[in-house]
Formats: sequence, C-alpha cells, structure tokens
Amino acid sequence: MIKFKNVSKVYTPDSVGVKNIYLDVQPGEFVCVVGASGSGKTTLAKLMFAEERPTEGAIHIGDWDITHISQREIPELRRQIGVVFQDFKLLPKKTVFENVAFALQVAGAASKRIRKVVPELLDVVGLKDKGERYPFQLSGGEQQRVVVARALAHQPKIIVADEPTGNLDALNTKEVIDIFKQINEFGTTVILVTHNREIVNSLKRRVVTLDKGEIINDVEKGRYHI
Amino acid sequence: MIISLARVITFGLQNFWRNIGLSLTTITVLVLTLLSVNILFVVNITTNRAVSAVNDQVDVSIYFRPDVQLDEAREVEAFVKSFSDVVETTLKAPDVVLAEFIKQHEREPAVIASIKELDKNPLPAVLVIKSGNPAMYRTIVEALDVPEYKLLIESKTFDNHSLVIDKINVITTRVTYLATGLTGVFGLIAFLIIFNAIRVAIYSQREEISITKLVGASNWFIRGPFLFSGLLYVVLSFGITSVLVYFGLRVLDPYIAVLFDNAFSLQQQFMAHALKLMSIQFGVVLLLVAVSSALAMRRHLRV
Repeated sequence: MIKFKNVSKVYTPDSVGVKNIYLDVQPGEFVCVVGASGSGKTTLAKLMFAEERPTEGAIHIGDWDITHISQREIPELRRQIGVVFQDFKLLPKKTVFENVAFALQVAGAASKRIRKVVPELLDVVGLKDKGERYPFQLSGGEQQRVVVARALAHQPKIIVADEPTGNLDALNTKEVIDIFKQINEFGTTVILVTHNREIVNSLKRRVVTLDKGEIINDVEKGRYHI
Repeated sequence: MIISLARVITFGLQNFWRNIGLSLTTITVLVLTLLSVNILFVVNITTNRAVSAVNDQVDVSIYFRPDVQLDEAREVEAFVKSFSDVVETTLKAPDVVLAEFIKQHEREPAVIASIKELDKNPLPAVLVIKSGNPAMYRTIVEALDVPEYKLLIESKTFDNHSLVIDKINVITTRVTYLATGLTGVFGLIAFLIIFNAIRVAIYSQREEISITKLVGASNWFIRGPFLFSGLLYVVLSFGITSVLVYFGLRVLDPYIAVLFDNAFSLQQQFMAHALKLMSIQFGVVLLLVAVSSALAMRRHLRV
C-alpha cells in the first residue's frame, strides 16, 4: 500500500528531514510512527501525501509512483489519503456539517450525495446530533472527530494522522484512537504519528521508531521504546 | 463540472463580500480608468467635428477678368477638378454673380442704384473651389499662377482659417495627451490595487486555502474564486462606467449640439461607435485584471 525505497528529504545540508527510509506498509495495517521531536515523523507523514517531495529515493502509494508527482495530480492523491492534524484545521465560519461537506464540495460531489454521506460520516464519529454547531462550540476531542469525519469523506484507503491527540486530554484521546481502530477494522490503512507512549503501548500494533531522520526500529507488535 | 463552477462562483462572491472595502476601491479606480478612456474618445470626436466644421467654411474664390468667356472659365474649372483633393467646384456665370450681389445688398439702395447706373454687368464669372484638405488650397492657388491661366484671372481670395485649425489641433493634442496620461496613471493604479486586493484576499484566507488543498481541491478550484472576484470587478466597473457615460452624454449633448448649430449629436456619435468602443474597453480592463490577478496568485497563492 505504501512503499518508501531509500527515501531521503534534505532541506539543507545541516537540516535533514529523513534519510535512507525503507518502509513497506501493507493494506489494512495500523502503523504507529514514533520518535522524539525533530526525529522526522512529520516529514515522513508529509511525504506520504505529497506535502513534501523526496530529494532522493522513490515513494509508491499503491501502484502509483508519487516520487515526482505533478501539481495537477496532487488533488487526486489527497482524495485517496485522509489527513488528520494536531491543530484540527477546521473552517471556523462553517458548521460541523459544512466542514465535512466541504471536502466533498471541492471534489465536485453532487449536493444530494453530500446530504446523504455527511450524516453517515458524523454518525461514525459520534457527532450525528452536532452537525449544526460551529467548531468553537465543540470540545477539542469533538473537533478532532469532525476532522476524522472530513478525512473519511472520500472513503480513502489510507488515513495519515499527525499527532492527532496532541491537544487532547486522556478521555478525548481514547475516543479518537477508538475511532481510528474502528476505521482500521473496516480495512483502511492507518498511519498514526505520535509521541504518546500510552497510546502506542495500548494499541499493540506495528511501531516504526525514528531517530534523527532514520528508522532505528520497526516492530510488528511493538511498544514505545525511546 | 457545472456543480464545481457554481461552487467556484459562490466562493468568489464570498471573497468579494468579505473584502468589500477593497473590492469597492478596486472598482472605483477601474471606473476612473474607463471614464478617462471615454473622455479621450469624447474629446477626439468633438474636436474632429470642430475641425471639420471649420474646414467646411474654408474655400477659394477665383475671380475672372470681365472679358473672359464662360468656356475659358470652364477650362480653368476642369483643370482645378483634376486635383484629387478638390471635392466641389462651382462656376458662377456673371449674371448669377450679379443676382447674388443684388440679393446680398438689397437693403443698401445706394449700392443697388450704382449697379443699375452701369450699362453692363461689371461683375466677372467666379469659380468657387472646395477641398477636403485645407492644406491643398495653397497648392491650387499656386498652380493657377501659370501664364496660361494667370491672364484670365483677376484675383483670388483665400480665407485662411489655418490659424483656427492649428489652434484646435494644438488644444486637441494637449487634451489627448492629458487624457492618455490620466488613463495610464489610472490603469497603473488599478493594476496595483487589483494586485493588492487579490493578495489581501489570499492572505486573509490562507488557512482556508491550505485546508482546501488538504482535502483534495484541484488547482483551478482554489484559483477559481479569486479569478471570479476579478471578473466581478471587470463586469461591475464596466457596467457602472456605461451608466455614467450614458447619463453624462445625455446631460452634455445639448450643450455640445449648440456649438455646432444642432448639426451634431455627441450621443449619436457615441452610440454609433458604442459596440467597438465598449468591446475595446471591456477587453482592456479584462486583460488588466487577468494579468494583475494572475501575477498576484502566482506570487502569493502556491497551490
């Protein structure tokens, strides 16, 4: 599903994002990417949805070589990869419903389909009754769940979540992680970038550990070791 | 495609409304630019008409000697007609000249009595020449100085209106320069303001743009609303200018018509060229907005 072949991202000779990354993620896998701050976790995630381009190596998403993906092709890639960030990135002037619908609107989905799909997505993340609220009327956990619903709008094969629980308390963190587990059970590949030890240890899934831009550990059912 | 287009238009309208102050400033400057172009046109057609009116009043009269036969005068007339710029010649026989003279002086009994005292008509045949090009009169007059015709001609009168024409031309040139300069200045200001309006819109929506990109919007879907806002500037400024020009001409028309003895309507002249004039203006403003928007997006909107 995701293949990194000797991938490096060098910003300047003194600033290396990742280097010599070999990574092979199978369809339906749940992978935790862990590491200290500045270890290259976010760069690795950004390379997956072409927010960054590799300076060396090759990246494949499914059968698609995105190493030198053109600007024109990026929207198509982003509709196949759902992205969740720590800072939510919700539109403050749009309601919960409108935020989720926005992902479908930009892709040219018909209004009828939007009216059908959005409530289903809000149901998946447990926010069916809060569609008319604005982001500022929601808790952090609820906001992050809206982001997850939006990320699922295109029924992506992959979800990349970069520190999705970084701003959440323990209870909200558990709720969000449970949603990721549920999504993964439906067959979606989940890449979870985190430095939360409890999450990683409780998930008991594959753990890829980065240090100074390099993979130093890749364990099938691992724990947090730093 | 139609759904996406409708959404691009909706988001474009939102952009326009959210930055309403800047949008109105942009439209105002575009209107001023278009108005100065229209002033240029009005000055041009009015002065052209003025020059043509003065030209219409200019002619040359050739007075033949009293003993010259009408056939000889016709020969001179044929020679004058061979000049390409000569548009009209009128050969007046002595009796026609006399009749006109009497009519002209009918309220001067002394003059009429003097004429009647004479045994025969003292007035010679006259050839009146009109040229489309006032500069040609001197050439025609000089051409008649050859011995063959010189003996037949008593005198030549040449009402030289060139001074008036020169003055009109000088004023026209200066006003044209001024209006062209103003158009250029307003055009430049409009360019900078549109560039800035798009830049501010991009800056104020940078978060929304980044989210739009993340959720898989195509490049044209991101750029489209900004282009639509630009198009809205063009359409609104063009519409406002057209209304202002229409009513401005209605107000101005009677005053201009008086100057030309009601033989000239600025409004009619304007309407006759309206399609061409408006197409050019719309095209130029569209180009101005397209170039400035494209530059602003290229520089500030990385998709």
